[in-house]
Amino acid sequence: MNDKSVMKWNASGEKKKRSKGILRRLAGQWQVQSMILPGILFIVVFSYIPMYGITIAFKEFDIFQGISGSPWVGFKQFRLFFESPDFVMIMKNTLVIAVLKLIFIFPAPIILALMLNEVRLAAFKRIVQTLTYLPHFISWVIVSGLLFSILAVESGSLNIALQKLNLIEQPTNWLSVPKYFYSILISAGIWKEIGFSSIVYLAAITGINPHLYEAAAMDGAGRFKQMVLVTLPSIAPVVTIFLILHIGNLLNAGFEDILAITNSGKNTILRDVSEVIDTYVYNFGVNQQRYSFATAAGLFKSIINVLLLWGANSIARRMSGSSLW
Amino acid sequence: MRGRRKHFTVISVMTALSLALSACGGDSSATKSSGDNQTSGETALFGEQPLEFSFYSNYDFASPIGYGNDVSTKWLKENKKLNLVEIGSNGNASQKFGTMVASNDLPDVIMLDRGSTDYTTMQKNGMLVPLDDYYKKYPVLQKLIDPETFNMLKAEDGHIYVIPNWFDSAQNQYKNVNTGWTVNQEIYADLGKPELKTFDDLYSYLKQVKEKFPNVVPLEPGIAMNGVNMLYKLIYAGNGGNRTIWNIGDVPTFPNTETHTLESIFNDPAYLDAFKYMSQLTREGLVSPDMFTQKQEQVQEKLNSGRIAVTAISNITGLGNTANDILRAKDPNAGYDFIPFLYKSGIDPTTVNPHTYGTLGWNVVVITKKAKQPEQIFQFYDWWASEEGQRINAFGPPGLLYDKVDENGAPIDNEKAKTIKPEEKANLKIGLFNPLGSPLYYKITHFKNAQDPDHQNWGMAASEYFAKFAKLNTDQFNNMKLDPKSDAGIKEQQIKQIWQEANAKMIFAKNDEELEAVYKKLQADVMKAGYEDILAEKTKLWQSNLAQMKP
Repeated sequence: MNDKSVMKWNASGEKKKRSKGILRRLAGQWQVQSMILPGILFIVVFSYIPMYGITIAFKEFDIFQGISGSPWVGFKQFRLFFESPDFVMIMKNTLVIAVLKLIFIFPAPIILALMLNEVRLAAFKRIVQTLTYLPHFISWVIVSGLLFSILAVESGSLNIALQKLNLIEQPTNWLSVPKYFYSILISAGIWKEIGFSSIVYLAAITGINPHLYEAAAMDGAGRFKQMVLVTLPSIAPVVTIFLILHIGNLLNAGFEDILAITNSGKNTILRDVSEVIDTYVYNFGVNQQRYSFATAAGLFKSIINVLLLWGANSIARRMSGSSLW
Repeated sequence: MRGRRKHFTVISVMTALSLALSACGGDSSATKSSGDNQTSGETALFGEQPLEFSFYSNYDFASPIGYGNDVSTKWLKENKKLNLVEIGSNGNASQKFGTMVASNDLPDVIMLDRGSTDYTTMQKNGMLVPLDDYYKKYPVLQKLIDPETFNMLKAEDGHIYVIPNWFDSAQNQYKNVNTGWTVNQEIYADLGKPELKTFDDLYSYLKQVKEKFPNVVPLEPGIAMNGVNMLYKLIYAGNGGNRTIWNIGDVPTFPNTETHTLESIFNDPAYLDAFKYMSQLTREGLVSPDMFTQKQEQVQEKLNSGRIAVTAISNITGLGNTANDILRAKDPNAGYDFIPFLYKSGIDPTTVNPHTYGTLGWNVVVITKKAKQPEQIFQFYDWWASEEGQRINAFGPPGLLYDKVDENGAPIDNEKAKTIKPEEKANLKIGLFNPLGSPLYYKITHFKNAQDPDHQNWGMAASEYFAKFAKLNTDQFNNMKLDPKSDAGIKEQQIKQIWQEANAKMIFAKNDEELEAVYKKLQADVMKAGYEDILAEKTKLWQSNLAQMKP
């Protein structure tokens, strides 16, 4: 903001006046404005200053030589990543999981919010909300523990239930058959995050002017029509913003969840379907102390993410008018 | 999901940055401390003056035990004026280690793998205290470590920087190994104690178990480590020819001890054979199908409740001992007992020797130049390696469960030891503090068991039994780890992934055709990934070790 005002200030006398006005206004609100300082400081310290370390993506980083002392190696780390025999498999998995999450995990909290909004009984609504939030606070390690015991072959609850219902004869090895992996991952993801993610949509719904509903009711719209014609369009800008952010994070297909459900990669039979960029970086980079390699792969991912974010934003701006910038 | 997940770039970059920032400030003090030569003139003996040092174990699994909370460390604190500041690895040892190095915040003492990159870099950068003079000055360790072993533990510069942990010696007659087959005695008796010698015997026995005891796990393979369960290793070694479980590590190899070259294990017929057997057992539901997902606690629970018929678990002497204490409290005839190593029909059983031994030990303890009192620290380890220290390691401090010791150094149970309840004894947490193991440990535990053969400790008896099948000396395979940043190291990591994935696929294959297809692909894939280069590289290291070992 400061840069802009300085620029305007130099440009012409007229703008000079206005920017002076802004400065004066800011000065007048200094108590309020100063509240943002810790936030700015936080971002500068933890997001901007560390960017210097990105240089190790182009180096052969050695912890004893430090960031500046390590020798430059150009694009060697990137080449190693792209030429890795696993590269295609990793990219495929990353994209598949990302798209599945976009299709199933992204809309789930919106649907839950819409459904909760229709619940008349306040007590019931509150109970459902609390119950759906709770899993958010459980770590993936614990969730995977629950999953392992539910899906175990020997005395796993799901197998016992299905056997008692005579739906299957022999217990199924849910966790060691690759084709079940995505369903388990996505279902667990929805279960864990649906409640917490729906908070923001519920808040958006609360902000809708009740007159709109009254007017729609007068025009003869039933509850369903009210939902489709009033609620949904009203929260559409919020949904758009979150969709843009989600797409900007697309290549962050998962890390803790995948690591936990594959038993830290020990369940190797799932590797063909479960290894994504982040888990690969963890296994082959950080764990092997190949920090430069890990940074290169991470940087590659971040660049794609920025491009995706930018693309999604400009599409959204053109199509719906609401966008991040 | 939105952005909650941290970017890996940010994490790695942040770590890197914090490393760099802190490294800047640290250099001067590092050089300072290396110049600070400790005068090793008159030093009071261990226990006569207070000693405090920080200790870090460079393993993901290592976590602080809470020094001073169990009987042994409480005793050391009160009677030997020793205080230990434990530093945890937070489940990610390599990261923790990197941070400590870069911030020049190394602990006084580190336990880590011998010959690991972490060790060699510290040693080459002058961060470790040479221990040559201390070894000469103090009596216990110099006597316990064989001269050949001592030579192999030396660094390239001719100095010794390490104290070996759980090392062995040619003089030690009481070796211990923690892994082998055990059989549930109750079930075995119930089924009429059929012969259990070959894999065919095992197969038909497991069939009977499954039929008669549907709620029992016929064969328990334990948890997966490095992509494979102990069961697989034992089956492979059961193919005789002195194949060992040792060679199935990160990237398995077949060490040809006649030509002294490492060969491809993937061309070894026993390799495919073992997988076919594993796969058959899995298909027929004779082995726990949760083998790649279960945790140690689940395995222990199955053991403790006696729900396993046959085990092939790593560290069964420890896990089984706990289970036997519980099971035999109810029924003296229950519990698990060890059997000879099973073998493939038609194989000469005398060539089934799955275990290995080495005098170099499991890992090493090093003293960094950060330590203010390196000599006193060495004194502690020298004392701990003695009979007195090892007795505390195995049986707790004196005055608790024993007041006197016999002529072999084994403790003699006092009244409390005879009446203490198993749960109460477990709460004492004897053996939790375990800073160093020396061969005297085996000697003391052996003679303790010999005092009363009727009430001997099952785990110790089993350990000594399994150790009879340790024939190959692995000292020759010392320092054969490849730097993960080198070309060969990168290839090794890829091959590791390829073979671990193929393992699971072969074990869960629907039929032998599918298994063989995976196997063929595995053979081709490892070759493509450069397996032969790894073999050549490691053969070179092996042969230079052999040259170094020659007198």
